[in-house]
Amino acid sequence: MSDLASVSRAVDGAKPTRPVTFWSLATQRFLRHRLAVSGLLVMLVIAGIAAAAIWLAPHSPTAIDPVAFQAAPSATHPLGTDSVGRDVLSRLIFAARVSITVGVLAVAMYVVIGTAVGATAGYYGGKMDLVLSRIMDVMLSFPPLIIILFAVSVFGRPSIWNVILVLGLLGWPALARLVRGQFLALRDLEYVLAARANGSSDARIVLRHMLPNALAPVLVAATFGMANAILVEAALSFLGLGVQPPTPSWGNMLTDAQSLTVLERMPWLWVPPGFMILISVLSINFLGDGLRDALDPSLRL
Amino acid sequence: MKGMRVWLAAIITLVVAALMIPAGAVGAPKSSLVVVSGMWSPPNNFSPINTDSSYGYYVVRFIFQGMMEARLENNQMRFSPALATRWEASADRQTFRFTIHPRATWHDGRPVTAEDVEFTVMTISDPKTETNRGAEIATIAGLTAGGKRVADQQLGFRILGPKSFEVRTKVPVDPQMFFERFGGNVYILPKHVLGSVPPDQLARHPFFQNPTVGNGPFKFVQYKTDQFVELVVNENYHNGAPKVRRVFVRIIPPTTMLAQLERQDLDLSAGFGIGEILIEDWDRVKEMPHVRPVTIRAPGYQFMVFNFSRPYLEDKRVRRAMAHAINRPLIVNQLLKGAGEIAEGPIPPANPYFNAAVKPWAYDTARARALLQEAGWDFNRTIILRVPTGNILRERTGDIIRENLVAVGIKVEIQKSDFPTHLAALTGKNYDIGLIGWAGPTDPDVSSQFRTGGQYNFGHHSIARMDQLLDEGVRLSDPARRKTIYNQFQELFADELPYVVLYYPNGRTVIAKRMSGVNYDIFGLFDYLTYNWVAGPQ
Repeated sequence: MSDLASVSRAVDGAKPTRPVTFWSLATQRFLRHRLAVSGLLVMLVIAGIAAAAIWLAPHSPTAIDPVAFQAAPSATHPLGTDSVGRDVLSRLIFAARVSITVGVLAVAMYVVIGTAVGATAGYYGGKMDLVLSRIMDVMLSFPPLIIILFAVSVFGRPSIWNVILVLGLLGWPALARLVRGQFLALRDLEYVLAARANGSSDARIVLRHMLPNALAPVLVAATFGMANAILVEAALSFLGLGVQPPTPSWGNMLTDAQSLTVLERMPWLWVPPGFMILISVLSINFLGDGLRDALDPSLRL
Repeated sequence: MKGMRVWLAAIITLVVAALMIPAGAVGAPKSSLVVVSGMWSPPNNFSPINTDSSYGYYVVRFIFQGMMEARLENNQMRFSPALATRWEASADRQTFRFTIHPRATWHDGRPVTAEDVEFTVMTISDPKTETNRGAEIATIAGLTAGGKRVADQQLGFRILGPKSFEVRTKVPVDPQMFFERFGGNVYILPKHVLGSVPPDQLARHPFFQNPTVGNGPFKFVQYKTDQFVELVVNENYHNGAPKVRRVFVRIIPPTTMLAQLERQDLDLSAGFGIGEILIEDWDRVKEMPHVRPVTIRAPGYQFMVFNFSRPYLEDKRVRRAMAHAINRPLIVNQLLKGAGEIAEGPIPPANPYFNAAVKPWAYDTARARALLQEAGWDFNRTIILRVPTGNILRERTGDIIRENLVAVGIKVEIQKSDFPTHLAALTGKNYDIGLIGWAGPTDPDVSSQFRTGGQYNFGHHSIARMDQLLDEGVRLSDPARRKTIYNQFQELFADELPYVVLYYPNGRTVIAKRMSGVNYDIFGLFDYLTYNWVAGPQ
């Protein structure tokens, strides 16, 4: 409560007519974070490229150029061709779709699960909390990449949907813990007690009153989660367990670069996908940093 | 002054310490006495009758020998003495006599005798023994097609003296085939070490992790798991003590072979299929002043197999359409950079039994489409192309094949998996089309792959005429008449197409220029007549 009071006092003098909310303040603070804004812009550009891949790519991502295998960049192939004569630029553009899809869908999936579980555990407490927390502990104690490798191979045919499903089903415990912590703190605050005294239902208290106040850290965690999902997808595809060929993904494009000669003399085979992974993960992390700073209730103007 | 003396002492200590590090185990080979060979994967044991793969047999053959060593030269099989000094076939091509070298001894000093050979044959043919040598002895009288003993039948093996014995086959056979398989591929076990071990416990016997009693030109010293196998010269080797004192077989993944060569930490790769140079690195290897690149016109091939238990793949026009659709010239010219050959059959172009009159189906997409129409192919059906991981070139071939098949209207989805999973899918009929490779002996008998119910019949096909020809080929002993039969077999193969043979890749291997006397055997491996190896100074 003291937080809210101080916020209104600080802004009072500046713009008395306009109502100042937590979110508008956060937006202001976010926009002042240059790296975060550039991160957001880069991600928007990548998302735009992914959406418009069909129009942007100069060639089909799977078409083979019979006279250019591992060819250096040229007018017809601005970023050269890969080991079976496919245009690297076109593959790079189409691969953005995979990364964005995996990042967004997997994270969306575990945000929903994690929030639901965390909210339930934190709100009800007691035995419910005990059971759910122990499940989270168990899930968190598994080595994640091994579980993912196992799950992807057990689900049968490896595919982008399997990767999403596995990441979504395994990613939630860390997030659920975060939400549970928030709910434990919020549960005994006066406005929640007031809502309860009003006779509001549990669902209404959780969804209307508590969730909006617990959302900020979830947003931050989701952003970092997205960067992680993109990395895991790249790793799985590199190992041949993620996106199946001939569908391009930045990870499986890197499988071409396993020999010294390619690393030293054919940089067009590995620099572009490597750079895209780097730049997208970096921008999302900057974005996350910015969000965390903007949404941190302890950081004042 | 005092400070200087301390420094001097420190330097001397360092120099002495450096001299005491054993040569070869780390860093570059230090002298003409040490040779380092590199292969891609580690073996799981050193059993001369049951090691898991070519990796294991590569090491085994330094330590254990058979009667002869075999090599193909100018389309002619050449045999060199190993344990045997003489080998001869009777006029009826059914009895084979061998004489063991009088000075052939085990590494513990005991003589190698005909009893050891008998023990080896008895062990391999025991139904309780785990072994992959069964096919090599299966022609011997009294054994099943899998090389196992039948209860009431007399085994065709007779000891003539301490150093001589005779083998009798069920029916007359081609001596060339018999000598290659029994003489070249059966490595002899020490009876005085293993004679009392029950056959069913042999596979787990500690001897096969530490085979200190061998009979070959090199003795086993140690195996550092996943790092290297150390071998030392057998001074008493009966064909002359090797000039190289110590051999290290190091486990080097394909991607780091080049770096090892550049640092001069490697004298030779192991050979075809188990220790080669990646295609991207080949030009770099050719530029290196201190090594000699060696191309092997290889006995092996890569192929695409059809699952005959799928009704929609039963029509041979569909299979031929795919042969027309796949751009094999592109694969060989671009992917293999020309270092390979195309042939429509499982008998290699470099083999004396190859039928040059059978031409591969041309790359012809129009013809492919027409054949599919004719056969009533359902263009909405999606088929699964299974591709095993590991062999990078083969994985890339999968991408090209998919594009080619899509281009003629066949919908294809690629499914990649690790090799054991892939093999299980193939044997379990759980696929439509799949990629895999094969390298076999020089003898043209391919019954295990193409006969109904054969152990390696991955397509699960059953073609009566093919069975007939294959049986005839094994039954005949006259090479000229066998050639006629196998010519017919290859014609039938191209017509029926149980496989589309994609390419015969050349082996890309390498030998340091300081080495001489190195040759490869019929499998394209460099552990051939290793006692002739000579290594010059670095």
